[in-house]
Amino acid sequence: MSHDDDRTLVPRILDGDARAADAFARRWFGPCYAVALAIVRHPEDARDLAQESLIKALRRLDQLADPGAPGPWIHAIARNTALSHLARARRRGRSVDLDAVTPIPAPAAPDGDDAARLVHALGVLKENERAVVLLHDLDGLPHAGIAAFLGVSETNSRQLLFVARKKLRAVLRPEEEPS
Amino acid sequence: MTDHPIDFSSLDPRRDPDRFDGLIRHVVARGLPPPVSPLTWGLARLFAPGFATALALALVFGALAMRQTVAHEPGGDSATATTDTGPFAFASWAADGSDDPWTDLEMLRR
Repeated sequence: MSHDDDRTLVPRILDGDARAADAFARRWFGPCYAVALAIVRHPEDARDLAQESLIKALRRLDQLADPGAPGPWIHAIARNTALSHLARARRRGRSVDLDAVTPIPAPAAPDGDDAARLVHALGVLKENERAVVLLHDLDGLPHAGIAAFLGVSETNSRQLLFVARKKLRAVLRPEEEPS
Repeated sequence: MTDHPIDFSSLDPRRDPDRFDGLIRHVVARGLPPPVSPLTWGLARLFAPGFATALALALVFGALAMRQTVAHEPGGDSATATTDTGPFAFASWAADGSDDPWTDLEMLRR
């Protein structure tokens, strides 16, 4: 979807058009989810946080400076929402040690275990590497879109993706990677 | 190998379309303000000027009432209380040394 679509969607949403709001939410769910998952590394929480971020974005849409480029604004909302969630979890004493990564067993596993393996494997990455690889490989966003959304250069996005995939493959399938 | 995407499909909430549709409906229902019915709009437009006038009057009278209350309180502005209201205003000539208003009336009668 191009910037022109956002440019036409935003005024329609502000006029109360539910179909435009639906299209907007579907368009931006993936990026919000990827950012939340990169931060909290918990798929269910990330889904709820993406939902919460989109509700906030819709409610504050009149504050959006450039209706043609809502990406950085939505990214800020999604990131702040996820970070607030982490801060609340820390206050409640819940374990959120994102850097604690345990080795993941390589054998193939059923689907649920596959998700768990992926989540654990994401722990070897830095937050920006996680965000880029999830935006690209999960949401299918091109590098130009990732660069605009995260506020990085396209070259930086490519480098982060390369590093992220390499690290992930080393964890997921150690036998395939040269030592 | 690093050129190939990582398969994150097991982490994608959109894998379950029904659940995802429900999620989006929830977002739209909570994020979008409820539509205002034409009847509500009509009533609002009809009564808006009246409401605005009533609000303005309430503010003016409220401010005046508050000012009077402050003036009549023991620690209030007694100078205002003695010169602005009732018989005090008519007899202010005695307090500030100006001419007696009755004198002016007597002169007019002649």
